[in-house]
Amino acid sequence: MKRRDFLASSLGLAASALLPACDDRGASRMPQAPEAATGPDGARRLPWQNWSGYQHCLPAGRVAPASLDELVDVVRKAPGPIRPVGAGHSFSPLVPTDGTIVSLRNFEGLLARDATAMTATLGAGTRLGNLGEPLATAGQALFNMPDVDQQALAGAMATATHGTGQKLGAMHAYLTALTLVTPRGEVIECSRERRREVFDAARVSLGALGVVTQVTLRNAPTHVLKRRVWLEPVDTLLERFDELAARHYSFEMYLIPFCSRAVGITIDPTTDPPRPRGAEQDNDAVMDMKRVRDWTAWWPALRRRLMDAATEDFEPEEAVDVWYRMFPSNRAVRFNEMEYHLPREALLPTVRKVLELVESRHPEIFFPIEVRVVKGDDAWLSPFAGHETSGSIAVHHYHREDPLPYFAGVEPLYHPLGGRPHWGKMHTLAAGELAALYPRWRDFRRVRRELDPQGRMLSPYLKGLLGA
Amino acid sequence: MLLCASLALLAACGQESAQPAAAAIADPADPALARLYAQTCKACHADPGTGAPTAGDRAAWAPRLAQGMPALIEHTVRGFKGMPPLGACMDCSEKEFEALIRYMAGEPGQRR
Repeated sequence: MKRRDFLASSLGLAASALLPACDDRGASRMPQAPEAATGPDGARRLPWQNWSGYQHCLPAGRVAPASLDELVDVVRKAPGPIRPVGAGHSFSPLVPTDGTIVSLRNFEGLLARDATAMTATLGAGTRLGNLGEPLATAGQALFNMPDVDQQALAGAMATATHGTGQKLGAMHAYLTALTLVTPRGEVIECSRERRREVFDAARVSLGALGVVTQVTLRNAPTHVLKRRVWLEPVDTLLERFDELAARHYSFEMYLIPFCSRAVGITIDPTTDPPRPRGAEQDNDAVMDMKRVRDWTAWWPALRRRLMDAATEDFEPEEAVDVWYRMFPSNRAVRFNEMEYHLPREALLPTVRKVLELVESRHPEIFFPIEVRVVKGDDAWLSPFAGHETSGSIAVHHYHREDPLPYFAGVEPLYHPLGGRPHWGKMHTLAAGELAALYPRWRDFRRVRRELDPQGRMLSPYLKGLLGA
Repeated sequence: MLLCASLALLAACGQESAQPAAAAIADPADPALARLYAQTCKACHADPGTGAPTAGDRAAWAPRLAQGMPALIEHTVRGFKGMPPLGACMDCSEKEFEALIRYMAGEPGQRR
């Protein structure tokens, strides 16, 4: 029997048997955004939701100031709490407010560059996906980028968003200066040399200090990168993880639940001729993994056999292109996510535990587990602060299904290790627990009080974390 | 995660992505709408590889328009399949959503 025929007949058998059709995997428990309401002006007030749809609110106002003066006016006078929003790509409740959501979409683009210092000043509302071309045209490149490029710069900085690479910091690690509009209407320009405490607090701020309008980044000369993707047995990739992370400019690993192979991705500078990546296939692959889950969740051995067979002939892929086309991938299948940053030495033992947990207790999971490394920095609320290198584990859950049972199972693995959650991703840590993880927590709260004594930036969630 | 080539043996590609359809379209005539489109919709609706119906691809938009504008706006506000809530435009009004949809659907008068 040919492999394709075997797979088709296996799946047909599975599909015709019982199958968990009655299990909605918590879909009925998922949060629902409120209905639109009619505002005082007669127009409909529309609900806001984050990218995954999990976080939501019905704000009194959604505004996009067109100028700095307009923004100052909004943060001083608009109904609070004031919450800045970029792309809404955070999974934690940083944005929801009954007050005013402030979009930064009019604060965008390349504003200035310094070819000698190799720095660039960008509007803080610039989407990562829109900064590659102008930066490259200006002869510059970001040192690193996250796995997706939909986020706005300000949101990426505020949440310590990162890519992967043992010698590469998170996005905010390359900040040299930023401009912050406080709720009192001050416009503060800060850097390591100017208003240093504000700079140390504002690099990773959860959007709690005011609204960041522009950022200056230290960059690299624009360059070409080679991206290589391959599959190999889980055990050997785990054994080689440290060596690959040390040897390559950028390295990450995806563990595929119920599959004996894992994915490795390296990115390195190259002088090879261009060879574009081609059409994105990851989204289709994820939905196919979901389909296999749906059909075989009742029979894990069959699931593994099918996944192993399906990944048996994967040919390594190589692409060569300008830097901003090599880091991010299109993620059209929406999900919720939890990610923790751990001491580097704890990374691989914990990854093994997470995979074991998924395969023993969470057959509902089909999204791969993402494993990355990030160089440390010194921003006060950086989850990488104090680490030479952090190890990061990200787990994802399909956006239409309840992520909490899975995340509640995984999260306790991180606590004994002093794991710090990604600020933009789901976690359950409260103020006291976070204070114990961040040596400069009290300093951050003090600077926040100084900049926003009335707490206009504090939503109920942020008040719980950072309030009195 | 590039497993589709192998996993495609198992089933047709995912419902949350669609077959690409190439189309070219001029920018919106209204500069404000053009800016809004460039800041929000364009990232997905100008890239056939994302699975989103491509701006200007009338054939792809026709069945969607047939659902009626209220349904399309509701999908936009709440998110639909791969499209995020509010179409990633955090401050857009319903009128702006409608203008963006009509432009992407290739309706006359919306293009430059």
